[in-house]
Amino acid sequence: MLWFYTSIVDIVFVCFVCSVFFLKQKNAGWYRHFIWFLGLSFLVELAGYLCFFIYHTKNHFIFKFFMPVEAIFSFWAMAHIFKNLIRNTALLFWVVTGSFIACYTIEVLSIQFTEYSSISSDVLSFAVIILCLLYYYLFLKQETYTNLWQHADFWVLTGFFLFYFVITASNYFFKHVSGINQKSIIPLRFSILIVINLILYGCWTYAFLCRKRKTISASY
Amino acid sequence: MPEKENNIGLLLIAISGVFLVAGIFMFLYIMLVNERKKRFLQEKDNMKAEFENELVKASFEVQEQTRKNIASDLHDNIGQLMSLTSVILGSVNLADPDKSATKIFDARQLVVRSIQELRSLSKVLYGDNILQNGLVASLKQEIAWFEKAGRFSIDFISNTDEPPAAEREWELFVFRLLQESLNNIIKHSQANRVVISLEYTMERLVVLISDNGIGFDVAARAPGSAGLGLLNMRRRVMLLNGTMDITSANQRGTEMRFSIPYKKHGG
Repeated sequence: MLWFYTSIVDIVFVCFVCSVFFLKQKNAGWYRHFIWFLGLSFLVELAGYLCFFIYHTKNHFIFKFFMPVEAIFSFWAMAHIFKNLIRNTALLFWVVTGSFIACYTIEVLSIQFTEYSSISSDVLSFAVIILCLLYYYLFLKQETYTNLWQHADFWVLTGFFLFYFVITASNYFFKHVSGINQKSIIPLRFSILIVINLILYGCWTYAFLCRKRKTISASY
Repeated sequence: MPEKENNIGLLLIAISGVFLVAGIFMFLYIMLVNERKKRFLQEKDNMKAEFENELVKASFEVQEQTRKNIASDLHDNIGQLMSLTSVILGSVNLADPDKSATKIFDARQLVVRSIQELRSLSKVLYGDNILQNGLVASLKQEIAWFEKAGRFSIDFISNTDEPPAAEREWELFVFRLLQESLNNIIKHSQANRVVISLEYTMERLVVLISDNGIGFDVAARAPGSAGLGLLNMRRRVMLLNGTMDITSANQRGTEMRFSIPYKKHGG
């Protein structure tokens, strides 16, 4: 059953390796930053796994302190993706990021060190979902046609959207289960996490492949 | 308790599943709309290509028709004049000075007429641009060609002598429609009187062409075997976002009405 508990770590690692392979060229542009982010995500997931499954300690603080990095990178990536659709992406980025940082700071200062920042997590999820929906709306409003099967930005956003859309529902339900032994349904919740991580990193891996194909065709 | 936990677990799966399916449906919807956009843009490109193609065809047909008119005029008119001149000069008897003087005078008159005809032909050939003076002027010239044959009396009515400047492609299409309508009247109608009316408004040009010919069954008419058939005319009118109506009955003449949105020069 070890494979079950290392699944998410494995998925992130595979995506990280793909990002190194597909995005190492200079003309991959801002996508190259996915390499260090996925490397860091892999280390965080590995640390979380070691803490919980090997050393049997709470691992919330690891993900709690990784959350701002995750949020800032997510919003920054979206700002790059939105550049083709709206003018002032810098303003959008700073407003969203600033709001999240404020919320996160207040929550971290008001809860215990080992507790997870669930409100900030909800704010992050909600913001990402709204931004993804905004992207889809602006994308469909365009007059020009884009082949989605070769459009890396679309797949990055879709990965974000499906991941945060499902995890929001799952988190919300999990939090509000009262009087129940939550530990007994942790494996079930973990299974859901595996599925949505597979979707997220699967979409991103495909996005990296699209980006690589685009850089190859641009260089001929 | 375990049963309650099982129910909670199933509910968790169900809720997550519903949200996942909803997310996937959103994704599929976007793919579907994007494909529809692709088909729409392809249709738009096809229509544009068809328009360009029809424009080239119309331009070619106008030139062809002009050349036919010129060839016909050279053969029927100038050719006849020159032949008659040759016959008259051939019959001159220098032994009879009075009759010779008359014949030479007549031959000279015929040559002068031929020169005048040639000069008017050369004006058409020079630049080879039938529409360089605008639609109304070109149409008047075309009507003058048809009236030369002597078979028709053509009344031309326009609500303005100086219509607004229009895009050349638009004028070419309209001129070709009118040209072919006149050709069809000549070939099929057995009419001797034609009325052409041009009514310019701010938004549209309304053209009425009516004749007093034998008429025809509009519904039964097959696509024209030569030149531009009725179907082709309708297609070109549609490309201009206009409408075409034909009213005809046996022995009661024919009326064709074109209503075409105006495409101003630079608009």
